[in-house]
Formats: sequence, structure tokens, C-alpha cells
Amino acid sequence: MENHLLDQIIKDCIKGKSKAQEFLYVEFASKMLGVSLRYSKDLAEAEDTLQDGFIKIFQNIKSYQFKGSFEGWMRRIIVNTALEKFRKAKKIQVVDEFLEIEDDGDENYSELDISLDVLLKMVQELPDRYRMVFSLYVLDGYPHNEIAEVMNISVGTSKSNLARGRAILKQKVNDYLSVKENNLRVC
Amino acid sequence: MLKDNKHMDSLFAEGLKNLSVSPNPKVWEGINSQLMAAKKKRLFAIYMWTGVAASILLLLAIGNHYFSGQSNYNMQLNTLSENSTSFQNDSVRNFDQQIDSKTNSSTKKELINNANTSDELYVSENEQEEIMIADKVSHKPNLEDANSPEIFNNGNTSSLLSKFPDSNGTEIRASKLNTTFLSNEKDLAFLDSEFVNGLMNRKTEEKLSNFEYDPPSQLVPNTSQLAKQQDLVLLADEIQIQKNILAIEQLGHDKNKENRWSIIGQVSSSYSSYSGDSKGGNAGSGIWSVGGGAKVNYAMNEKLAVQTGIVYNRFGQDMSARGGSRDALMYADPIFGSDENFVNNEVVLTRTYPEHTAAGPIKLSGGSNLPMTAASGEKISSSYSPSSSEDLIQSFKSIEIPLLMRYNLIQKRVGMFVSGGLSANMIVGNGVYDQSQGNKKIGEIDGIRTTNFSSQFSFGLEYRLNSKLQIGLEPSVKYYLNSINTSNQYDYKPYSIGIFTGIRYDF
Repeated sequence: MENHLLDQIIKDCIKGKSKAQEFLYVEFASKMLGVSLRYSKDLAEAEDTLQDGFIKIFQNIKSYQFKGSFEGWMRRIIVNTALEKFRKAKKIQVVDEFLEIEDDGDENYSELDISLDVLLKMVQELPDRYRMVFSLYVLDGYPHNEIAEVMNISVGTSKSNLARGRAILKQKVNDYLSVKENNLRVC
Repeated sequence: MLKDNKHMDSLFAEGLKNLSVSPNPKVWEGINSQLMAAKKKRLFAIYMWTGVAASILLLLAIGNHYFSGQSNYNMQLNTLSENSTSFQNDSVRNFDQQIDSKTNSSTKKELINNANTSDELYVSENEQEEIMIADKVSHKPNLEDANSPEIFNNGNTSSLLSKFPDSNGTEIRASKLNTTFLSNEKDLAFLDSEFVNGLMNRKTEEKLSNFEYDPPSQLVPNTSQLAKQQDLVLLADEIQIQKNILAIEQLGHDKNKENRWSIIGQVSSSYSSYSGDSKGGNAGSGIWSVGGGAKVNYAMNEKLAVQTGIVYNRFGQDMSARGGSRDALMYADPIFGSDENFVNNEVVLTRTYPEHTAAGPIKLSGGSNLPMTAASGEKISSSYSPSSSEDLIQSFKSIEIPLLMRYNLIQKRVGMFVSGGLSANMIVGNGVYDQSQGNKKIGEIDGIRTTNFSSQFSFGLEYRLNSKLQIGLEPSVKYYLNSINTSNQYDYKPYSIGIFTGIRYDF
């Protein structure tokens, strides 16, 4: 979408025009659902977060200063909405964990052929707090000190949760690959 | 280890960072309904606070008007009282001096002892506004003489009773002013303004002449003292006159209140929406509209009046405020599409005109050159066009014949009233308009009941410009008692919140 058109839609959204709101939603809903899916355990929860997030976006759109990426601004609101729901559900257990993960060797996972839905499912199956930290750090680029702040945990716990999450994911990937390899052999 | 982590991160990041998934259409419906609810709430809050602010201003205005009027009146009477008293004291002092100079000490003592016969003039407006003009003009009781001339001046203006010394000057009987000189409005004599003016002029001249007289050489004052007493009487008259002027003004107001018939011309600005639960009907937001009409007011008594008349109204809903005009939204990739697939420079919408609104089914006009096939689901492309603002508006025009009861809460220069009642509403206009096509009428709602009934309540303010004309401001709430669609599938009861402004002429 061209910048001036996006700016015009944002201005109309600030005025409360329904048509502009709908266009904005149509333009960004899929991407934002992609964001909220990473912080949710399933699609229903992700859509719930998406709905609440967009309401916040429309209610607070006047605070957007037309500086920086508007998509980034929206993405942050969606993430914050997911975190807020997470906090409200009291899913965050403040447990300081310092876990050393064993080195299983150097594998080039990035070259593996795993579909997006399988990867998403793996993330969604993570325990809530590991999923939140993993998504914040790996997928949305939050540093540990910021994660610690938004999740009300210590930096050490954030690092520990990330390590634990990674380990679980690595195990899942390995399991998935071994099953896939077995299937191929059977075929 | 570190490298391994990076590989793990990149595996997930590359795939999931730009994940794009098409949401269920119900998500937008949920967002839109919450946004509409917030809008309605905001409007309600605006109305509520406007009402609160108007009420506070009204109370302040009424309070200011009432108390300032009261204090002015009190000030008038107090000033009058002070003038009268000082004048009275001056005259009595002079009179005492005359007596002192002409009588011996024993006589003086007796005069003092007879203070209980002091003449007092009480001018009472009411219990709170009592003016007492007291005087002590001593005299010797044993010197009273039946020959003393008496001046009764209690005709219509007061019950003033005076006794004056005779020409021999052997007796002094000061005027005795009845304490019920001016007691209440029932005792008032109404003087016409010419009489009042004439009397006041004459009185002023007399006052002046009294100050100029020479003290008599004899012991007892005769004509000059008579003039003194007359002056007291005139002071009382002056107060009486002031009172009567007020009474005349009051009479004028009373006459105004006798105006039983009046006509009222009003224009209104109102926000209309609806309540009800229509099956499958598309919800919309309210619309603002102007209306107006004329009413006849008949005052049954001072407080109560009935009103009827003829009023034009417009109400409806803005269909474009939601996704109702679009039955489906198409996204680039259905699920797990890549970012490249998703990002489109043009948003492609599948739009169909809805088959019905919350008020009923839309019957498209035969002559419309709009894509009639859209009703059957034809897809048309649309890109965002800021200038085209909103799309469909459904509106009804009605002629209303109200029957209202009005109760006056306050009837001063600023009046306050409440009114309420029932109205018969004839739907005379019915249309669905596409704003993106220059407000073109694309059809109308089918099955609309021609005659409908509504109830309304309003709170009004009036300001009296003169005895005949008043301007008014009247916030009003109106609610339809029945669904305006004959089909029981559609429960559509419009309501409107508006402000009437108008002018009223009393016959």
C-alpha cells in the first residue's frame, strides 16, 4: 500500500470513519493474525487477541505520530494485547530458572524443510511462558531486558525460559525429522 | 552451541516472522460491533453531560434571576423605609423643638410619660419586609379636646387615622397610623398610573412646602403641624403607591398568564437510531437530521397545558458504518500464505448490496442503473477512495401529530417546563440511498407500516422576550412504541434524541 494512501486511511480512522477502519483491517488483519498466532495456543485464542488488538488500534490510532512503520506500531499493539491477556490469565509463573542446555551438536536446522504450519504448531505447543519468551525474542526481536519488563520476570528467567523453549523445540524438530525419515524409509 | 541456537532461531523466524493467516469474518463483525457500541456510548455521554451542563446553567440562571429580583425589591423598600424614617425623624425633631420652646418642663415630662400613645406607622409588605416608621409625638391627654379636628384618611389607600390639633393649639394629637396600614395585597387599592404620578408630584410639592414653613409663635402648632401630619400621611401614601406600582406590575403578569392560546414554531436537530432485534438484519449507526413544525398550546391552568400540531421528522440509519454492505471480504491467501502473496497494493472487496436492513427487506428501484445483479452476489472491485466517504443510508420521513401534556415548573422571565405524550407518525418517505453514487436512491424498505405511534418526553426552557413572545430550547427524547415494519421478522423501533429550538407567541 502506498504511503500517502495509508496516511489518508489512518487520518480517516482517526476521524472514526467506518469505511477506513474496515480497509485498514482488511489490509493488515492477516499479518496481525500471524503475529497473534505465535503468542497463542490455538487459532481461536489468536483471533480473540486479534479482535481485542484491533479495537485498541482504532481507539488509540490518534496517538500514532506518522513516524516509523505503522505496521510495526500495530504489531506492537497486538503483541502487547497478547501479553496483557497472558498476564490477566495469570499464566506467568515467576520462577527463576537457570538451565544449562546440553549441546547436541551443530546441525543446520535452517536448511530443513519443515512446513510453516508444523513450525507454528510446535511453537503453540510450548508451555505458555516459554512460548511468550521465544516469540518475543526470536520472532519479534525483543531483548531480554525488555522481555523481563513486559513479562514481569527477571532477565535471568527470561534467558532461562528461552533456553528451555529452544530445547523443547529442538527436541520436537528432531522427533519430527526422525518420524519423517522413517516414513520415507517405509515408502 | 551458540551456532546451534542461531540455526534453531532462524528455522522458526524465517517461517513464522511473516506469517499471514486470513481471519474468520466474524472477527471483523466483533470489532465493528464493539466500535459502534463505543460510538453510541460516547454520544450518550455527550448528551448526558450536555444535559447536566444545561441543567446547572438553568438553575444558576433561575437562581440569579429570582434572587436578584427579590433583592432589588427589598432594596427598593428599604430605601423607601430609610428615606421615610429619616424624613419623619427630621420633621418630628423639628416639631419637638417647637414644643420644647413653647411648653414648660412639666408639660414636657407628661408628654414623655405618655410615650405609650406614641404614634407609629407600620408599613408592612409582608412578614419579612416590614417597615416601621415610628414616631413619638407627645401630647397631653388631658388637653385632648373633642373639638380637635380629625382627619381620616383611611379611604381606599390606607386605614390611616389622624388627629390634629385644633386651631387654638391647645391640644396635640399626633397622627395614629394603623399598624395594618399596608398588610397584604388584598388590602391594596389599585391606583392607575396617572393617579399615582399625580399624587406623587403633589406629594413632593407638599413636602417641599413643609420644610419652608416658619415656626408659629404660639405654643401649639396649628396649620404647620397639620401639614406635618399630612406629610406623614403622604409618606405612607408614597409607600402605598410603590406597593401599588408593584401590584400593577403583578396584575400585568397575571394578565399575561391568562393567555390561554399560543402557537409554537420549532426546528429540531436530532440524532436517530433504533432498538430492536431483527432477524438477520444488518445493523447500522444512527444519523443526524433536522426537522420542524408548528404546535398549538392551550393552557388549562397556570401550570398545565396541552399541545398538538404537526411536525416533520427524518430518521434512519447509516448502513455504511459497518460491514453490512459487504457480505464477503477477500484476502490474498487463505492460510499460511507467504508475505509476498499477501501484500497487495489494491484491496479487492467482494461487495453486494444487502438484501435487507434491520428495518426490513430492501426493494431495489427498477429504474436504478446500479448493479442490480449485485443483489444476487455479483462481485465488484473497489479500492479505497477517501472522498466517497460512506455508502448506504436508509432513511424515513414522517409527519408527526403529537398530543402532549406540558407542566410548567417555573414561570418567570426564564421559564422551565416538562412535557410528554404520544404521537401518531405517518411515514411519508422511505428510501435507501447510496452515498458513493451521490446519494442516489437505490430502493426502499418493504413492508413499512404507514401509521406508527411513539412516545416522547422533553424538558424545556423558555425565555420571555415580552408579554407575547418567548423563545425556547427543548431537549427531547422520542421512542417508537411499535415496530415500523409489519413483518414480525423485523423488530425495528426507531428512537431519536434531539433539541428543539423555537419561538412561541401568546394570544
